[in-house]
Amino acid sequence: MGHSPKVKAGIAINLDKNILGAALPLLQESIVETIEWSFDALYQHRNIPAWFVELLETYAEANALIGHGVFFSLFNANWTEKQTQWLEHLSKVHSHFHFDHITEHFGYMTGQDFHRGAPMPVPLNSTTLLLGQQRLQMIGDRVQCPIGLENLAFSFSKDDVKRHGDFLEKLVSKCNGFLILDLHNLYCQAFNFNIDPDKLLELYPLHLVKEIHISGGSWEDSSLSQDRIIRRDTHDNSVPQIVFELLQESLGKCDSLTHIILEQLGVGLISNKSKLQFKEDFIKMKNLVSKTEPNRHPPANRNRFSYTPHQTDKPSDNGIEDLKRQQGELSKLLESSISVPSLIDSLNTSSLARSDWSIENWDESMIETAYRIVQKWK
Amino acid sequence: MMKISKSLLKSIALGVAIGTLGTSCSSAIFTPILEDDVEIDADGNKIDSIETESETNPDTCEGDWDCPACGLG
Repeated sequence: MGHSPKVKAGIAINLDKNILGAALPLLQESIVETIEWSFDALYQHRNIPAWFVELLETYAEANALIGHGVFFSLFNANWTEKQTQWLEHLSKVHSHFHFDHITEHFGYMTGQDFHRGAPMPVPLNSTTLLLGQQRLQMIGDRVQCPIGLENLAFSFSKDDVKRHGDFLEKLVSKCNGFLILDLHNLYCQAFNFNIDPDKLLELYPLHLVKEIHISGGSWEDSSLSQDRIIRRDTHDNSVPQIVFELLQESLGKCDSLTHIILEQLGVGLISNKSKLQFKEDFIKMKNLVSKTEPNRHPPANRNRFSYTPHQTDKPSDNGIEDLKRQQGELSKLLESSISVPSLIDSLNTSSLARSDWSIENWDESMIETAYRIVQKWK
Repeated sequence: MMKISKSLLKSIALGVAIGTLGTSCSSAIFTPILEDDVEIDADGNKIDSIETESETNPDTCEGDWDCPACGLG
């Protein structure tokens, strides 16, 4: 019997003065055990200050730097040059920093340029499963380190929410990958579809959780359904108590856990009050981890999630062509419809109707939410 | 415990204080992945519609309330 690896408590950092300003007191106290860096989010920068590189290198040398991709667009059926560039960039930064592990998000990005799009769910069928496995393999082949996927905060239907964990398990298992369990994402899904969060947690493959994220979010009114509010994963607020409760619950159940990360956007960390709250959230998170540590169940193999190259079956050409057409149509409708009712009408006569997208079961308030997000980012 | 050198902490504090992140070129490891979309002015600042839309923080994609950078913002 071995011992579970210690869980490292860390924060998501990037070249942002508000995030760094909030992180600085924690770094000064030497209590940040790991850093998560979105290596593809500095695409606007040509010049990076040497001290930022030194900070990343300091953590990398301690095997405490993890890479978190944002813009690969794992399920984009239409392979683009941008994705080739993304993989090349990943190879380059990984060869320099040697991430402990690398993760990406579930979904595909709308828009021709993914930086101007928003991540959307895909139908959970054999085409997307094989496509996702193929794409994970592309990442794994480049980096030869553990790779994982994060659960999505958004779905169009309750059925998709309930099936998400199972689908993630099938996706990552093929390459011996793991899951990032973002507890605020899970909370968003549970709240928006009126599911008990604890019960939803049970539907996830908790034995595959190597990393947990916690963060805050915001509320948005639905104009289609009176009195209904939608929980959004905007990462701009402190961590709500319910997410800490979910964390406590999860810590006892995720035996393979090695990293736990507090994420907050710089825009939510402008005031001194918000920076202090960030520090309090981090300490609360770290204390919860410390309390649970002695009770975690060994063994957990350190090499448990070593990347395993594998033979993947290719999705059928017809399946990919259908998916391309449907993703293109959905993106276009979300971007160009003049209103939500008009979007819903168009969807009902689109190639997504009576298909695996199951748009007939989509929640109209969630369609409105997707519309708002895409309108903002197009 | 994760010790960071005093000089590095000082540099971070200075970078945060002056608020101009990204002023000195460090190395070639950060070639932007979307160079064809990026125009840079003489001071090394990006000239692009995304950046001008982001009023709160032009430094990274994390500069807006609904950033998709962390899942579905």
